Amino acid sequence: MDLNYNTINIFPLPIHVFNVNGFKEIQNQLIDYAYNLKEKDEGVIFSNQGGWQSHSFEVKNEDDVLHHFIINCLAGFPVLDKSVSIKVFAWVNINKPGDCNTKHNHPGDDLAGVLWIKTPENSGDIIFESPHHFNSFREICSYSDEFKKCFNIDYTYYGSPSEGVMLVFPAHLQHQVQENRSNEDRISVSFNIRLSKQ
Amino acid sequence: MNLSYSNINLFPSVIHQFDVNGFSEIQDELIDCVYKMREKDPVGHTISNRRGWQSSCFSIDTEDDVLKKFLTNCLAEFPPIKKSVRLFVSAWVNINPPEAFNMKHNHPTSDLSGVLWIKSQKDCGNIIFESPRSFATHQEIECYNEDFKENNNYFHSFSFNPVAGRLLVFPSHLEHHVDFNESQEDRISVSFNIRLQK
Repeated sequence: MDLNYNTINIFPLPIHVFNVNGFKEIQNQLIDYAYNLKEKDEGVIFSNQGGWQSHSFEVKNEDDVLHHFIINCLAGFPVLDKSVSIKVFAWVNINKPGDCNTKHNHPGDDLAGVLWIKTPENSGDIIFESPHHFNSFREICSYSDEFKKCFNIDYTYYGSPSEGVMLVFPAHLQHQVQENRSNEDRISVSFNIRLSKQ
Repeated sequence: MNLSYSNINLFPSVIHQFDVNGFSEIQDELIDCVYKMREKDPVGHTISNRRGWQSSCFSIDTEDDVLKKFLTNCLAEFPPIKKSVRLFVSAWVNINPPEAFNMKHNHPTSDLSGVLWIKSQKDCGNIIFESPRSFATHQEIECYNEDFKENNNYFHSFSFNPVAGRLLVFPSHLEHHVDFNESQEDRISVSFNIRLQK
């Protein structure tokens, strides 16, 4: 039979990737910021296993180096409608060797994200879990490896951390951070975004 | 700040589209086959169909009529499915006269489901898929600009016009419905479920 075949992908989970050019120039300043904050803040425990996580703070102080940096990154969010305003709450993470983050999502918010500040090799990938893992189990394992790779169809997706890269993703998407198997700290800033449309 | 932006789409719902070249050569034969099936079982079954006729479910393993043979040939070449996977297909026929429609449903206990449109005309009823994350992503979707939503098929729902000679295959868990047939003629289709076995 003479057939034409096409794939149409609908309802993906978009991961927004921001790459900060010239990040090296500010990296040490942000690392110092994280350690200074740790001295002042005993931290909180949520998904972090062994790692230090700061209390959450609203990102609105243009005079603060970290706030300023995040505000400027998110100012260039090209796919949001012009009428949308965002409210951002962030926290700093320091995962020592051996630390990890268990699987979680960010209820109550629309988008969540991470900015990687210091990520030695093997310091822990972020792993997103497919919301179709259960419902599409046999479907996914029946596809060829080439097809799955081409369209990011799998049970999980591994994102390697990279310094100066910021990811923004749907807040409901389950994710975890692998154990830090390097010999140095892994430093990141996580945040939640609440969207409002005028 | 000097930023570069990109997006990565993860875990989409995959819609497989097959277009049968030269369908008009066999269309009348398939239409006759469908009406003969209804003559033998005029009451049919009521499941998601409202005002429409739906046949009993049948396996396409025995290629003893033109319809079964046609469907078997369509699905014989399913490019993204591994060669080691066997497809077990059960099908049923739908005749939606003017004003008939199908309520929202999915196809539990199957892996993939599909439809082959045999007779369709303008306004005879689109098939509409609902995002499995419509609730969780409501505000996120509302806040993206139209270009982003369009380019990434990222909506609360996604609609396909029926086209005679076209076959769609989709994940069985994906909720969908068929709009009212607002044309003056019958809309005829074959629906089917696929169980995948390695």
